[in-house]
Amino acid sequence: MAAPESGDGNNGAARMVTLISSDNTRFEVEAAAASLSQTLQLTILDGGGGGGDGIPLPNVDSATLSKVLEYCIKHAPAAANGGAPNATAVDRAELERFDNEFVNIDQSVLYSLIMAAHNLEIEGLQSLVAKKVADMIKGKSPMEIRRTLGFPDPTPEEQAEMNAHMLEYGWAYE
Amino acid sequence: MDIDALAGGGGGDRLTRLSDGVLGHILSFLPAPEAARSATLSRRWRHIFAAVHTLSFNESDRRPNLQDDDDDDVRSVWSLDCYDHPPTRPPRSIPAPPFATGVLAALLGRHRGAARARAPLRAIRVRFDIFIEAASATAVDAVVSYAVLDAGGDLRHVDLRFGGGPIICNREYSLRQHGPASPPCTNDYAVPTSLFSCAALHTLRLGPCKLNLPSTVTLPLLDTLHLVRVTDTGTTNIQRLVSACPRLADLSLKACLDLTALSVLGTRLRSLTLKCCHDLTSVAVYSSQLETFKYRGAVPPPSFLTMHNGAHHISWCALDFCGDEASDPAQLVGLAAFLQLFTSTKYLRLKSARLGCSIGHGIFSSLHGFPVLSHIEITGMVPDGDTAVVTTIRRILEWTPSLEIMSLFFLPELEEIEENN
Repeated sequence: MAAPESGDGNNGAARMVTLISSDNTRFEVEAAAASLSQTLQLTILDGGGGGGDGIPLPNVDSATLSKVLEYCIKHAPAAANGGAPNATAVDRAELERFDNEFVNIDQSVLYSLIMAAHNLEIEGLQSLVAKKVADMIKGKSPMEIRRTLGFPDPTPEEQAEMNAHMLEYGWAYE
Repeated sequence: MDIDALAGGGGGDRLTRLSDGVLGHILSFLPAPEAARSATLSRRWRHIFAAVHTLSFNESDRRPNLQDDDDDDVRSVWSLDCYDHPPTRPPRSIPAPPFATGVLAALLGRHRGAARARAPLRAIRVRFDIFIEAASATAVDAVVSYAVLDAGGDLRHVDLRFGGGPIICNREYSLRQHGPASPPCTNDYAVPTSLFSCAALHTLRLGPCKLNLPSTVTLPLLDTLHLVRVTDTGTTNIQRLVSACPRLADLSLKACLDLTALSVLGTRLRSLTLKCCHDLTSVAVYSSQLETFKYRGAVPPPSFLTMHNGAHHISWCALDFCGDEASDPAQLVGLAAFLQLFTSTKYLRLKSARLGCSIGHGIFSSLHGFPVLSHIEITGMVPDGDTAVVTTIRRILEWTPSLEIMSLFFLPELEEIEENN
């Protein structure tokens, strides 16, 4: 599962980098996995994150970061394979199973992941978590969506405004 | 960066604090009319629909009880009639608005909000179960033309399906006679030609429809091309389209009946699917990376598939022969030559009228076998008292020293099906 490294001239054993969460926990991870993050990729290509240095991530707490890295480690081999159009059906099914399981989580964890995926620019993870929220919304009435997403109940003014808006969007409800 | 948002707070508040782009990304996974409807959620969400990068229109949503294909389906949008009620009414109880109404309203909806939220489109998806050309062609034209313009040369994924149901033709696995190959239903609609000049296009799925190409086709980044029941107005249009895609990795042609010869010059091709293109007699592949090959049709003539750079990377292979089990010498020679191409495969799926029993014929005894094949799956009918299948299985076992799993699926005999009907 050690993905071949490219671009940084290293050979032999997979290069490791250290990431430091907002609460100062250090995570050592293969460069190939961490490079799924567009934000980190450049730093890593420049040789950052190795040795005792570590890359600080002040926006991501350790619980979220460990979850993010779980995703990156799982997806790194397929990503190294160029999106893997050639992946076998078995490999794909396994990744899909992993993904489904991965987002089967508390809403608060999900939101933390959305923000971390966004900040770290991990494309696959961004889509995975966005799709999960979309699935939570799908087929529901606006009021149900508000409840599902944990919006506070609307004030009477807000309710009136929403109702007015409803009329404008009547076509979508026909 | 959304540092504050990490601090916690109510879930909805946290979500709402995300940038327009992130919220737009979420709505991009919903059918367009449903995504547009999010404008009614709260003030914050009013203009988010303008930030979606994908528009999906799913005509089949309006008939939720009809068969679904196995692709990622997008659920019901149209059946919601008022703010506070979930869609509990039985489906079909209200007439759906014309497809065009939803499309035009959604396109307008993208321009309703503040200009700052606007994100260019990256992908469009349109899916019909039944495409009634006169009623829907203008709306589909509008979606495509709008997307090409809106994306500003950066449209990446286009998926336009104008018919549901089984994709492949209804030639049968017959023990007795060939049924006449009934023409699959086709569609005279042709998508706007501006689509074929989108230089950023990565994925194009199209059909059933007519293929009308502009004089110049340039799709330098296209890696996935799937055509289903595409009729070819110029007879060489499919070839022209394929030739315009140097980076093609995944090519799938299903029931493209006008196609007689195909040449794939691109060297990156990894997956090739040819199903029910019954007039196709010659295919040339120049990629040395082909890994997956899927075929359905009659037993091909000996020179059907030419792999100019070798077939040694093919590791996954599905062959589905319709019509009678091959029996005359010409067919058997063709079948032997065809199988010989796939001796490097690890996974083989074989489907034929009589469980591949033509392989039992003497002509196959010279075949070198499949040294690395680990999985084989064979499907077909076994008539009473048919012992040819025993010879076949024995030969396959001789051919496959690395075999781990063999699965046999027995189809009911055609005769019985007819009687039951």
